Amino acid sequence: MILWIIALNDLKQTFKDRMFFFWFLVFPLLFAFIFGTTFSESEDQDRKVTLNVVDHDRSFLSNKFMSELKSEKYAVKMLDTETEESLRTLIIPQNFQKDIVSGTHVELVLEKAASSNMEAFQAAYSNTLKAIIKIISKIIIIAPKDENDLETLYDQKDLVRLISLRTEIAGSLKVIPAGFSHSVPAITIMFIIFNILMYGGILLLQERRHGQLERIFLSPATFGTILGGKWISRVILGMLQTILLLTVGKILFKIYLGPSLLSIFLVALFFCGTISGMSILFGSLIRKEEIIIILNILVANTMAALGGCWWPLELVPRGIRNLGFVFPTGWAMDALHKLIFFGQGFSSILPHIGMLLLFTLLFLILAIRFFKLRKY
Amino acid sequence: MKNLFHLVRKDFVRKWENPVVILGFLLIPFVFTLIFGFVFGAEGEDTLPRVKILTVDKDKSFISELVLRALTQGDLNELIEMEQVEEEEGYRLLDRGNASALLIVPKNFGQSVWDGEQTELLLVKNPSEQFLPQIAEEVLDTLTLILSSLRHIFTDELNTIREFDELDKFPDEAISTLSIKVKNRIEAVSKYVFPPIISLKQKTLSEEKGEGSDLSIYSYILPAIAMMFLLFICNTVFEDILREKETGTLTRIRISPASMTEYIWSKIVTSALIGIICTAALIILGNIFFSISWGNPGDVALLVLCLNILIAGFIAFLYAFIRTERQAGALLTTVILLMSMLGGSMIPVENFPPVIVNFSKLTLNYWGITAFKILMRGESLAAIFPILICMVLAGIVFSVIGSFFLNNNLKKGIAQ
Amino acid sequence: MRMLQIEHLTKSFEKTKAVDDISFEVKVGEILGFLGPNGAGKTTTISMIAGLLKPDSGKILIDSLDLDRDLRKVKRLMGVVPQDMAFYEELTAKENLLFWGKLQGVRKKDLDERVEYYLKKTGLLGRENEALKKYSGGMKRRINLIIGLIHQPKLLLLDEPTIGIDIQTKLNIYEIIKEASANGTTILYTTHNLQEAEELCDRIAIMDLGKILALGTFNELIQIVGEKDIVIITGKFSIDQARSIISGFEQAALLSLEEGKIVLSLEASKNISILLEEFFKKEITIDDVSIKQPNLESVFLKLTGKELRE
Repeated sequence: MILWIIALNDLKQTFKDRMFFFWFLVFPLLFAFIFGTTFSESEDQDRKVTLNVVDHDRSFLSNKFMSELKSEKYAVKMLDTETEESLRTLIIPQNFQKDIVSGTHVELVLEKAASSNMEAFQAAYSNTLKAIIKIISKIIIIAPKDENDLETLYDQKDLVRLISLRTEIAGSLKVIPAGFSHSVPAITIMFIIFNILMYGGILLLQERRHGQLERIFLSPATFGTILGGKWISRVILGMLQTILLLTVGKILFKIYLGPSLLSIFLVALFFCGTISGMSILFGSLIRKEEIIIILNILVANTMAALGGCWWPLELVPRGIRNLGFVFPTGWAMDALHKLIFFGQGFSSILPHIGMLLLFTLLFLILAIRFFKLRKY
Repeated sequence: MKNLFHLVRKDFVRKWENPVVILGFLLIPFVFTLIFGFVFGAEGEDTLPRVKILTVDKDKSFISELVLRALTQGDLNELIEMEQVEEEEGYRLLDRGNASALLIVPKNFGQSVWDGEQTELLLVKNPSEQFLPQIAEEVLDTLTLILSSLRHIFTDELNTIREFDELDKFPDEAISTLSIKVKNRIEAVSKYVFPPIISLKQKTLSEEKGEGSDLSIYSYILPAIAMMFLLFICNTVFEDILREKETGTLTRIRISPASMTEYIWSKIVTSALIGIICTAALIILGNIFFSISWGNPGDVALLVLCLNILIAGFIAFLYAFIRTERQAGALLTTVILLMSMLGGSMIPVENFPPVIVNFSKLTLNYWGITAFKILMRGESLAAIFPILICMVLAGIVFSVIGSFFLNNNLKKGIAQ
Repeated sequence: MRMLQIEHLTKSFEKTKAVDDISFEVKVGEILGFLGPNGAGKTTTISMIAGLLKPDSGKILIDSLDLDRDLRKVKRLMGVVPQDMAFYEELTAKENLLFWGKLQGVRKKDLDERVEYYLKKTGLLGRENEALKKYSGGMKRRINLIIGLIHQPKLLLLDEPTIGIDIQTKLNIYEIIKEASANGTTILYTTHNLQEAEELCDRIAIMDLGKILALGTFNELIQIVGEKDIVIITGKFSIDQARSIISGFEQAALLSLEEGKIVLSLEASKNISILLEEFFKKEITIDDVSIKQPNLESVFLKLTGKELRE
């Protein structure tokens, strides 16, 4: 019972700080919204990448070329001139048709505005390349002698796609989660670290300084009860964060959470256990609030970055990806990926739970070592 | 003026005696830049990891082997890491996230190509990856398009060979004719393909203005994150006002000959000076550890000065609305983090949809980062001069307004 | 010669009159003590004199300068020692003194001399380069005091400068205050400590509910209760019972009466036994009887009907 009294008291102290709700809910959601919106272009498969074209040639072949550019994924818009407002502009030079027919090299220029999304630009580049291949193939086959010949023969030959590429997604999903479905779980992990370390650590430090911890030690509560109560309060804090962010993410951003919600919460629970141990260690070791805040920023962000909360780990070298597993974030993120994106079950994350449990024990053992009554 | 000097000096000495917070805030951008550089390398986005594609060849024909070998040729080899596996193992490895995609060449693929019939390759993508499977898809889609085109180009020749194959007859004369045909065809192809008659050049619009070479990842990250923490550093100076209210030193100053206006301006000046010192430190450290070339030293110095005038003024302006430490924590932190998020300190502004970029331009971070980047690209002072003027003017306006309201608030607050 | 002149000073906060038409003067070099319970108006009065609060009406003249018109000039003449430790803990004692002295416009040469002098006076010479956060409470109080004195103000406002410190520090502080007074500094001193007020102050003002109830030297104030002894009787009696006994007892002057406790002024040696007999006749149980010489506490009690720490 005393354990729960201590735990609930710690939670009460935390909730009294109005700024807490900003860090607990408002800021993480804002973060998730901006990250999710920024990287969500691939989520909506019906949305087309727009490519603006400036055709200085306006010939039969340039029109055909533009037709090749248009497809399910790409929308093509004609512009009269190159304007700065265009994010991606393809420029077809004068004499495009004439030069190709005569066998003279033609250079198309694909311009990218500084504000263009990189992914969209690469998609536009790839699409343009494919259109070029189609045009060149047609030219080779019809081998026009002159421009009239080209216009006569072009439509006579229809090049059906003989070899195509069909894509599927591994696991039980039909759609690759992107945007918010990626960012919300990652941000949840990041803010669990941030909030538990900050509030958990600072509260303990203040209790030491103001003598409240001393008073608690003078009560009938045992050392284990006191430590346990403090640890559990921080775990509860983290779990509340998880439930809140995932629930709001589900309602507001319609994120996909995979088939096993219980497994997700289990991962979160063990992860919170680890971070709670860390927060008690910080609160026991450090004497100044400012240092806890600064250390929190450094530790939370380093673990988040290397663990895959900031950027998709696929973008980093394999060695760095493996480095992520030195941190509990790496294990937590990997477990979430398996559950959410592959739709796998609990058995697939057993090693992850095991590792998180080990981390928890490690930090708790260290916390016990330093969680002594020290006066400031 | 003398009092202003004494007050500034006093605050400097106090910060010097207890520099932990400022040093901490200085350290953070440094560490973050290190992390980014460590993870992505100094070249940044040019060094994406190779896309790991597992391949399953159910056909095991000459054509299927040719296709798979094509993935390991030339530039593709630098982009793709291929590994041949059995189907079951392939799915297992993919589920474990050990590859970005699994390519399955179906049975009779070669035969279908040979016969000119439609066929398809299957690409199974790793759902936990957003970018690399997409790259794999584009590369393979392009490859299959090329193959398809080649099939069309050599239709006649391949049909001729098929006929011979079916009849199991390879008359010498026919082969001779075929060879000439193939040679002519290859010559025709060569005319248009080697080199490609249509080439595609990428151009980022900033290059057109001759702004110099690309910046390293350190050059992107350090100024961006530093902007955010400069705001926090400046805030520590103004937070002092609230602390001095609590401890009673503000009352003492109020009773002394020093005016509240002098007191407030001492905070603005101290904050700007500390900001300048911290920015200078980050610039020097950035140069030493990350080889960041910031641009012409004189221009950079001017930018640092103007930027810190703006920051100090802005924070003073915000403090006009604050009465307690709690309010300071709430308002300042919210504003700084929001501005940093929108202004490019956390995510490069280039990644935002255009509608968000309009908001980005309202932030201090955006203009600070932009000005630094312009100088880093080797441009002259003239390119950022309008920005500098705006910074100074805005800083002065913010300072004046902030000072006025802060003065009134402090007078009321002390009396209460 | 008058250093401080207060004329019909009034200040209200919403419906409450914190200071209600007070007037008084303080001579050069005089130490005026302010006694009164919490909420009496002492801090409001001091704040107005310090220029922190604007009075609703009335005038404050400091060294013939109108505070309202000549605030800047007046600030140079004034020193403050607030109850809270108002200095910079991260700075050393010397750094604090130099800073505050410079802010008050003290010239460098004078400032260096004074810093050394006061540090020596407070026994802190040798520790001037330590940060104040490392000082004990008593040491901090001393520094707090000499910060207010470093510019040798003509008027010094002290707000309970000896709270929570040991006797040695207290005596040291008294010594410095007396020396300042002897050197011509006029001192306003608020305190709850009656003994301190008796010992230090030339005159004492007793304040309650925004008014100055009495102002004078210790002997003058004592006359309010007369030279009779102060007798405190505690026991098991009601207010009516006590009142009925006292009403017939002309030799005693009632100072305060509550259930079970009565405070009187009377010549104890002559009348105490007669009084007690009256109590016994009514079969009232007496727990305790104490007899004291007339002091400020009794004056305060008579004037306000309360004990000082309410």
